[in-house]
Amino acid sequence: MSGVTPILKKELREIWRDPYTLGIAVFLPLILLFLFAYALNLDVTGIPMAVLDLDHSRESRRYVDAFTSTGRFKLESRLVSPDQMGELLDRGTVQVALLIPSGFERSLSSGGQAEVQTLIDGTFPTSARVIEGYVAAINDVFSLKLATDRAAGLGLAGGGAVAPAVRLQARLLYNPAQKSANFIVPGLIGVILMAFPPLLSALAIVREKERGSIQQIFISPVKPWAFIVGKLIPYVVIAFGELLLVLLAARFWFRVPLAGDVWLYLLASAPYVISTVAIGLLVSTLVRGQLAAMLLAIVLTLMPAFIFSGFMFSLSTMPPLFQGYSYLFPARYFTTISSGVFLRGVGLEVWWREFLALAAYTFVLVSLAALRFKKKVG
Amino acid sequence: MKRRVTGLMRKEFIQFFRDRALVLLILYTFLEIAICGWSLTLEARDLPLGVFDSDRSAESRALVSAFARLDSYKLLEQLDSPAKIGSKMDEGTIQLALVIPAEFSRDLQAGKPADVQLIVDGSNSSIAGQAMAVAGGLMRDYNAQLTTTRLNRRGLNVRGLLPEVRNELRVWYMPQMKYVHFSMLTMLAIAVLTLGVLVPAAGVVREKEAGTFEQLMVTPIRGIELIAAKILPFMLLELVGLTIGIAMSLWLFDVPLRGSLGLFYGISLLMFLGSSGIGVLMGTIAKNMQQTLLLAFFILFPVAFLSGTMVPISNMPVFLQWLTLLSPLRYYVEAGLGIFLKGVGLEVLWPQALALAVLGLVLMTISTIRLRRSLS
Amino acid sequence: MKGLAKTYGRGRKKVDAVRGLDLGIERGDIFGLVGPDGAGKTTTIQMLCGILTPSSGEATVAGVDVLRQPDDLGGKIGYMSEGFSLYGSLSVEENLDFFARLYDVPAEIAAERKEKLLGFARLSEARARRAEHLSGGMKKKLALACTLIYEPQVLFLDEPTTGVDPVSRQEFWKILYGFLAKGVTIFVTTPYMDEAERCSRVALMRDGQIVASETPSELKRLIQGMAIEMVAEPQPKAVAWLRRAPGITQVQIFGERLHLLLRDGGNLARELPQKLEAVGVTVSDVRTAEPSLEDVFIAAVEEQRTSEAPPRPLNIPESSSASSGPSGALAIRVENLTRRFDSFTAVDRLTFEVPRGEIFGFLGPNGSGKTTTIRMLCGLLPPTEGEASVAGLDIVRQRKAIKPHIGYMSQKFSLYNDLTVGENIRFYADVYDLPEDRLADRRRWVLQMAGLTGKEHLLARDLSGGWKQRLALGCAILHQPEILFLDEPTSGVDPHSRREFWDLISELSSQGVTIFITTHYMDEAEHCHSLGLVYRGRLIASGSPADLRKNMRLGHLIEVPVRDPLAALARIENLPETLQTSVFGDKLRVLVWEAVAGQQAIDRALAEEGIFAGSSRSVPISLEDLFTLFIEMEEAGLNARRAA
Repeated sequence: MSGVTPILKKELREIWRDPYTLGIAVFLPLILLFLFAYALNLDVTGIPMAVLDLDHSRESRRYVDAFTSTGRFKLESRLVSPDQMGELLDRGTVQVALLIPSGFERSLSSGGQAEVQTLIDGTFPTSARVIEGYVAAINDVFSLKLATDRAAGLGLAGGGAVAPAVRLQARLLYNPAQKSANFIVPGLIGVILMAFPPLLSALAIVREKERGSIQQIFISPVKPWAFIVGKLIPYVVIAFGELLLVLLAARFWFRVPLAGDVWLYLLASAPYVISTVAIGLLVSTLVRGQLAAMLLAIVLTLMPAFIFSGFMFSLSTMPPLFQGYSYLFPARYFTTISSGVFLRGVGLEVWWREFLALAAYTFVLVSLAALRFKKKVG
Repeated sequence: MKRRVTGLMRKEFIQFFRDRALVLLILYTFLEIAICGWSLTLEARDLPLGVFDSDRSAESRALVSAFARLDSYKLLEQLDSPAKIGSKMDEGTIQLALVIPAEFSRDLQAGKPADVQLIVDGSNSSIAGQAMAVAGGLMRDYNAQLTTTRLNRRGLNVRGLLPEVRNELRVWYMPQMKYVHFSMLTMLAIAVLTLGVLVPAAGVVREKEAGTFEQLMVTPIRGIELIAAKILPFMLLELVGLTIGIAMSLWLFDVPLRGSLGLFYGISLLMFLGSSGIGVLMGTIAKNMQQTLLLAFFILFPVAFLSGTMVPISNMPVFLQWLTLLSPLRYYVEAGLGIFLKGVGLEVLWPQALALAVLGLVLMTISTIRLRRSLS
Repeated sequence: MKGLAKTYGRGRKKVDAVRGLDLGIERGDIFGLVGPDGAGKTTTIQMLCGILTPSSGEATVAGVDVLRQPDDLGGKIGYMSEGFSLYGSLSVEENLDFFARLYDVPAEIAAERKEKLLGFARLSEARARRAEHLSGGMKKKLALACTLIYEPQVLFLDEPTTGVDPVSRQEFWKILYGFLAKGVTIFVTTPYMDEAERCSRVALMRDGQIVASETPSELKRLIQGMAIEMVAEPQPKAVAWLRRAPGITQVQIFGERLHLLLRDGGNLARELPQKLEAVGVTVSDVRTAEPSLEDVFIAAVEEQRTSEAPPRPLNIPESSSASSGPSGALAIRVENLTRRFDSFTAVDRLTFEVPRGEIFGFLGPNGSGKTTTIRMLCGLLPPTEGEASVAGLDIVRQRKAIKPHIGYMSQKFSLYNDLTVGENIRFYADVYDLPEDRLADRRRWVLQMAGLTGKEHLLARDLSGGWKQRLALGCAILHQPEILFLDEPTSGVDPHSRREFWDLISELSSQGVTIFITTHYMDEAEHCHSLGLVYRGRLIASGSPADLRKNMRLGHLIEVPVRDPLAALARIENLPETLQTSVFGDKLRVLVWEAVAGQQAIDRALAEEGIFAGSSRSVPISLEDLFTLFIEMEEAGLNARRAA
């Protein structure tokens, strides 16, 4: 083990005295976590809505209330003319505009059909779909109530004449609070770990190359693997530190519930953490300049982690080509494990395959890095 | 003076095209846009569904096939025990489970409400919500049909008997709600921001690293000329890049263009100004290329994804919404979506244009001052 | 080593960096490898250290086969690469500890050696300081200490003292001598000829091959011919004639003196003055001189060159005289110029003048304020106090107006590496608004001067040091400024190119261009008309080289050949009459305060020790020694003031 200790100590000292690196390692992950967890709010509530009520009747007001009382819609303005609808939608001031023509109550009281119109801003397709669903549901509930009351009045009640024949009960598993943070954070942890440690470790070796101090290592009796391990350990420690930091923030600040066992989680993360650092080391053996190291590191780690790990964009909806592509990156496996432990509280028996894949990955990466590192210039 | 500026610009062009790393990065960014456009979506589609049907009657099978026909759902398998539901959900093999009890058809025929359960993986609330909404819609249609059939059997016509509100839904701007259109436009905007910042920043830092800054300052070149020369060539390149991106969107992905292309280019120019301002500013702060890249990625990255490109700004917490007011990308995205999808013009988008212009001027001024100061 | 070779690249871009080297080096030798940039010196060293795989051939270092068992070298060799290979954020002590641990040096021995090395290197007080905060000289000393702490058998040094101030350079070599005594073999490459003189053997390398390999004295004898020095007026005429004269291999300008190398001595030497007088040149003060190693080197290089390609015409074409501006007789006038950065005074009340057409050398070790001064004079940095005028224009109030009148070449050569030669020229022409009709002319002029005609398409990055330097100079004078500011233009350039560069400068000066040049190569000072020596921001000496020598009453250089230089060194160096002692091959050079007293003391000491010595004699003191004296005096004065 000779050689590992002095290199390790030196590396730790250098890192400690480099405020730049420390800052990146500590602050940026937290910043990313906060930004994304807060901002990537996929819940759709408080949708700004405009209403053009040409009927001004009790029934029409009840209809509007049906929407606003759910809390999902926020009444922004009551309009007086149809042209206004277009304008507000164009400007983006409202996302939904409801038009109730005159004669609404009359049609209904005679037992007939009343027609209303809803305009939805489709530019944000995800929101639009959800809004569509809400509007349809609210409308149908309203109609059903009307029909049931009338049927009761007509003596047609009894028997599922007008009551829904089939009642669908929906039950939510795993994220009862339906907070998007609960879903995003576990995956985000994987992304954050892919963002910084590889960058730091890649720069570590390349900086020595550029500075020339690596030549001293070349001529010393230190073996290549000892050098790699000596460089690896400090950054693994840092990466673990980041993991803990983000985990603590997730649990206690964002109150993301951890359904599974925290020690199990830490154990499962170990190969992932090591693999992120190992990727960086591998990159640094491939390139010569710091700039190239950074570019390569980002291309290989951050981008794929963000897009192809499944943390936000579900993999099942991607074309099969990209689904296959995602198997190349450790972030994918980790996201599965992470969300499994956090949301579903499942253990090794469920994700043992992913765990093995990660372990294998790590082993291969570290070996590659050690093999590629030759004590030669050029 | 014109001579000096053209000379400077010529040099910048030559240096840019010879910088292989940068050119590769740009090409890669375009590739990323294409990939994202192709593969990313936040919609719920083909969600794997498991069914546990204890009834196995004609009615239950009819219900199951109604679900299977939905776009959002994909019937994966019929399960043979309730316990399997839990484990498969845990594994993630299925995200939805439809449980039909044995009394289903019996209750239906007896005219009693028949209960059916849908178990939903609630991890991703957006997808869960969409899945449930679709299921709800399906059930309502299904029930309405059943009701009509029953009433008809009794010789009653539903219409004219029971009141009903019919809500005609019209989705504006993107009736098919294709996510691709949305994501292409936002990715384009992100690319414009990223490149618009990175390339000028690289240009400034390259000069600093080579030590030629001093040399330039000894010559009769003036500060403004220097900045202009750093920015103009890149604006030109960005215009070219933008055009390629627009072409890709229009022809490869069928993104509609309902507004004025000229207006879009005009606003894009303002955006270039703003992002170049950020780029030059970064160039004066960073000491070398590595720092530049680090700064760029870790500032741009969050900014890019939080300016209303993945999630509507109205969804974000209030203080973040205020923060986005400072982001040129936010205005650019609003303008882009407005012009392409909504077909609106300057009369609606003037606040965005104004904001971009103001931001651009402020950033440029700050960076010019910093540049001049950093030379002494 | 035998047949050691290294080829880089493939196909068309193949570069034979080193071609079939054969060398044998004895234990305990100091071996010097000299050569121009790109000759293959660093490649050779790297192969010998086992960190670069040779394409063919073999080598044995300290008994280890470098090719087959490079790993066994660990611990037996030490290596100092160009540049600094220290860990900046670690302290001096931590760096030393790291290397000791890396090489498994047992703790007590490591501690002992560490103290000794710190003492030798005069770094004991700075032991807790971070390596990045050390001066250049101290860094190099520390780097050396770090390789010595595990006591390697063979030490490889690649340009170890480049860019370091003379005082630190001396100390560096002192440390080396200490270890030489223990039988360490030293292999060093250096651009400094005086360092080459210290070696027991020197090899000249060019284009991947060793051209010659002997002891310094042998090498000098190899040059055929003899060296003469003279003063000739008018100089340009004399130079032009001499250059074309057959039998004269070298003409070098040292301020007002000319240094000539004749192919064979005797007749030509005697007839020369007459011949010159015949063409209207007044000759005076003719002396014979000893060829320096630099002469040897250049002669060898020239031979190589002439056998390869016809020599480049060193004729600098006449360019129309520099634009006359509102300058008058004084090109630069500086009065009490001061610049402070927070509490640090970089430039302290400088006052001097530079008349038109003169070459003014602004010398001093790194960090003495030279670059700051140039920046102020160019209008890049405002002074904190004092005033100065350039070309008659005030540097603060008329900053912008100065720009067209001056040319500037920064330390990094201020070329755009990713642009071609032609594009660089074009750029500067545009920037200085050179009218189109003159552009073609000037462009041709610059290309010819730099010797780059026909090479316009090469990227600046691919040019070697000498070419780059000349190109940068060309771009700086494209617009024919009256005053040229050159900041360390010759750093990192091989001696041959340096000489050519100085020829160019002299030619320009004779055409009326004022040249303000900074350098830390003290020997270049000889080329200047007048000098200013700066140390720690203050002007501690000024005048022409001759004046400085004349006025310096203290300080003489005694040279004494000895059989056992190291023992002699040990005996002499602590004598109170001596200032500094160095080994130069087989001779000892001692800087003494007083000539007579010094010589006597030396002779006595050597006799006492029984060290056989030839007769000691006084030799002309070099400017570098002179400046060392000035600096030492200044230091003494400062210390006295601090103590008071």
